[in-house]
Amino acid sequence: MLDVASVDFAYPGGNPVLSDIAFSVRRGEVLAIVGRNGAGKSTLLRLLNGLRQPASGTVTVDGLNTADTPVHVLAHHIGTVFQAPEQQIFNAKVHDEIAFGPRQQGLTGAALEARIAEVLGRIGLADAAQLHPLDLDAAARRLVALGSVLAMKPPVLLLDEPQRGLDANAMARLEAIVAEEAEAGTCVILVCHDMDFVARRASRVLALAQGRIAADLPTLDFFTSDELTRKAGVEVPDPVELARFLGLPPVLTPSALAAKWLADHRSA
Amino acid sequence: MSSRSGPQSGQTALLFLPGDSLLHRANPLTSLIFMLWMISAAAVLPTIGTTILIVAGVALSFAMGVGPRVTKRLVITMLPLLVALLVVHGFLVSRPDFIPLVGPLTYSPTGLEYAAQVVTRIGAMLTASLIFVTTTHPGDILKSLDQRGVSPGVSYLIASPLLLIEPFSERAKAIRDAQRARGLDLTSTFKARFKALPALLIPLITLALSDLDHRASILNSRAFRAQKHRTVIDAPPDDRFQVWLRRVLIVLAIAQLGIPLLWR
Ligand SMILES: Nc1ncnc2c1ncn2[C@@H]1O[C@H](COP(=O)(O)OP(=O)(O)O)[C@@H](O)[C@H]1O
Ligand SMILES: [Mg+2]
Repeated sequence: MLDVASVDFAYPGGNPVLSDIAFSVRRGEVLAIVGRNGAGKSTLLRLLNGLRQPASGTVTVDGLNTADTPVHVLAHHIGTVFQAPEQQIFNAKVHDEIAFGPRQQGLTGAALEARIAEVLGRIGLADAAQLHPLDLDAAARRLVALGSVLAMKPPVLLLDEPQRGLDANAMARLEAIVAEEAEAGTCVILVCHDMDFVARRASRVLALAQGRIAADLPTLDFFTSDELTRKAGVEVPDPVELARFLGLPPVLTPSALAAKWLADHRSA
Repeated sequence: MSSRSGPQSGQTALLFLPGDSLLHRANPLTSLIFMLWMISAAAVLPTIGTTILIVAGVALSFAMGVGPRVTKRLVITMLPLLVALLVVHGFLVSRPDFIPLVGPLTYSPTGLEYAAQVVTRIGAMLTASLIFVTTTHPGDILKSLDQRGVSPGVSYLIASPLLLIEPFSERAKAIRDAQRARGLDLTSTFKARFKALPALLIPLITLALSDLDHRASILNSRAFRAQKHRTVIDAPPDDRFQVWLRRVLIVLAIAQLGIPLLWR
């Protein structure tokens, strides 16, 4: 679905930001990109959606080489939710903001309205359809930005720090949406500093350190390697640490930990 | 004062070019006054003087390492003006000294002279401004005003339009990127670009207005007035009409600045 082959990149007049990047992501995978500030995570997303072009190597999205495809065409194949929703919201109603993408795709009439209603339901803002997006709180505004991208039904979804600024309620919505999208075969790629979120939702972790791939592993394998988590500069989620402390097999989530612990004690 | 470098400085709409020349090292206020002097000279000198000023200014800009950028901007701005003024005043505006040229075409020496005077005057002023903005970073102006004991509030007001240019152009770029990644076509026909305008301008204006709000509240906050140097500003009378007029003017100004930035 998405293929990155030996990509190098530097901003004009700057030092190399990404070197020798290669990975592919399949349908239904949830890939978390982690790493310290400045490691090149956002830059990598910009290479994936065609806003930047690699100095060498190729990026292929849904069979399209980003070097030969205009950004606005690529947008139908790869949706991006940026960090600052204020940078893209411009309609006076939540409803119209969600409609923006599908309209670009030529959707009209009942099909369009059905698509909007579906998305509004998923982001939990069905009652807010007629409100001004900027009258919503920050968390709801982020969900509107997410919804406006979901409405285009892209086969690849890029999320830059999607959990930032979300309250518990919005966070639950986001997690459910990530799970549903993966289930439906979307390839979800998220940049995230919240390792508990990564542990709960990502199937695979790509760690960047100084512009290179430091690890590309299933989530559990990544978090159980001290060397790799240190190299990527990320915290190990509590359940992983706790399981190790208790001498239990590795787990990623509190509920998995509880299950393992109970199983252990029942058998004992 | 200080020269700047780094990967970010060349990326913005700022004309500033990092360097280590005399003017880069000079105090920003010196550069500012030098520019003002050059502009005032351009305002009073005859055509021969303003022409020399342009030549000397361009030579200076090359000596300061900003020659190509100054020359390019100068030519891009002045060439259309030069052509238009020469045609209008040399050949079209009827004057007593019309001399037959070829066929039905006539030209006027005084008209041409007038056009040359206007063009070289504007050109000399532009050269002065370009030398200033290519060798002085707005942030340094702010710092040197602070050093002079100018109240932070006042220097902030003086420098903030200059400082705004940088985040403004960066933001314009971020908005353009965000909308293109949502499928907005900014590459094809004029009509498509025109239709794209609201998607670009509305976020820009919304964010700029919330910025200004933020700036105003900083100025009003205690932190700003509790400094050593204070200025008491007797607030002139104000009313709702003026408030709205200002908002409209800000929106217009942002739109005028924004359109070329967004379409670049
Ligand atoms: N527009 C830009 N121009 C020049 N350098 C940039 C630009 N954006 C980011 N960088 C540099 O690229 C490196 C990686 O940045 P980024 O991809 O934003 O990292 P991350 O998202 O992992 O924090 C940093 O050193 C940063 O300074
Ligand atoms: Mg980033």
